[in-house]
Amino acid sequence: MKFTLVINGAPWSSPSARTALKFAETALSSGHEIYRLFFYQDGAGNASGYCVAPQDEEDIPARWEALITKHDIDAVLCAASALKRGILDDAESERYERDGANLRPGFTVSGLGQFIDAAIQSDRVVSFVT
Amino acid sequence: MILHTVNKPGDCLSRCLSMASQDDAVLLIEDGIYGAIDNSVNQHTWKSLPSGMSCYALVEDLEVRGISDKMLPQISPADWALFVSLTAEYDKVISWG
Amino acid sequence: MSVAQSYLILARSSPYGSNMPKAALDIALTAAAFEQEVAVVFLDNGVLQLLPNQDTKSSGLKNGSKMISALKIYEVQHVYIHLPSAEKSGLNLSEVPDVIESITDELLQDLVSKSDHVMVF
Repeated sequence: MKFTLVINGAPWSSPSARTALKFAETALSSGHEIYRLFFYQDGAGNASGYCVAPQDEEDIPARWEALITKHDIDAVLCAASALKRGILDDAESERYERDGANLRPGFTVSGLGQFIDAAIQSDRVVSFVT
Repeated sequence: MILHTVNKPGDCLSRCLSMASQDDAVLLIEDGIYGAIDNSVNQHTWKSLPSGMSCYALVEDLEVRGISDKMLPQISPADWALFVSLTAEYDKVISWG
Repeated sequence: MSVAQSYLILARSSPYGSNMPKAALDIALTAAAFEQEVAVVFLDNGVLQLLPNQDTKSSGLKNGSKMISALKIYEVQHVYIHLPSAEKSGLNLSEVPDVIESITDELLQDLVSKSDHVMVF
């Protein structure tokens, strides 16, 4: 199966980001494909390069990055969601004159249309809600 | 045939169950697993469920919350692999939150 | 895109208390802009988004109800209010914009069953 996962929750703020991560890991190890990960609303926080996880807690953003890198997954943030939450790539950082970019490697920022496209191209869409 | 995931008990679970049909399945996840505890509130909530429906609760969420041995008899434990399988087996997934 | 899928957006959250109402509308509008079939149902606390006389002028907040009235202009095919939810909340249906249709439990269940994507906000 070709999956698109929609991640709506910030890392640690609710269980949903972690549920999504474990679902993604299990789907891949079961032989399924992930067409796209779409990070919406507070889900954009999963792509922050500035989050510092406490030593005794799972580093959820880092785990996403590792999964995305290992399996070459298309990981897209909704631009409006990302901007509001202060997750900026180089272009947005320059455009809005912020001091730095903090988008983790492997993630891209795009429009909500990328979700609609993914829904068309995938066999299953699974949303992880707060 | 729909797989419904529910991550909160109470109104969220009730609304899901009101929209579910005979051929659907329900998977309780995260705090939704509190809806699986064998108590009078939950017995009432699940009473009107169509008899053929499959009901599951995610094992990891049951275990961390300490209710693995307190479940309603009609709810089966599901591990991560089964969660994934269910999403493939059913035609679509509706996430209630 | 040649394939039109059907989206059912279930708006269950009250306005101004969370990002849910806007998140729902943004998905509905984007799907419609991409020529998908879109239906929005206001359900449970979501019917409160349809309360008339939402006065946001002095607050500086955006009035959420204004966009709801314009949904059909933006190619969202159907906008419904769930009748049992409206009755439970005490909402006076005559105060709800005419473009919004009523929907019963049975019809809603049918939409849930038939839509390609059902998203809950």
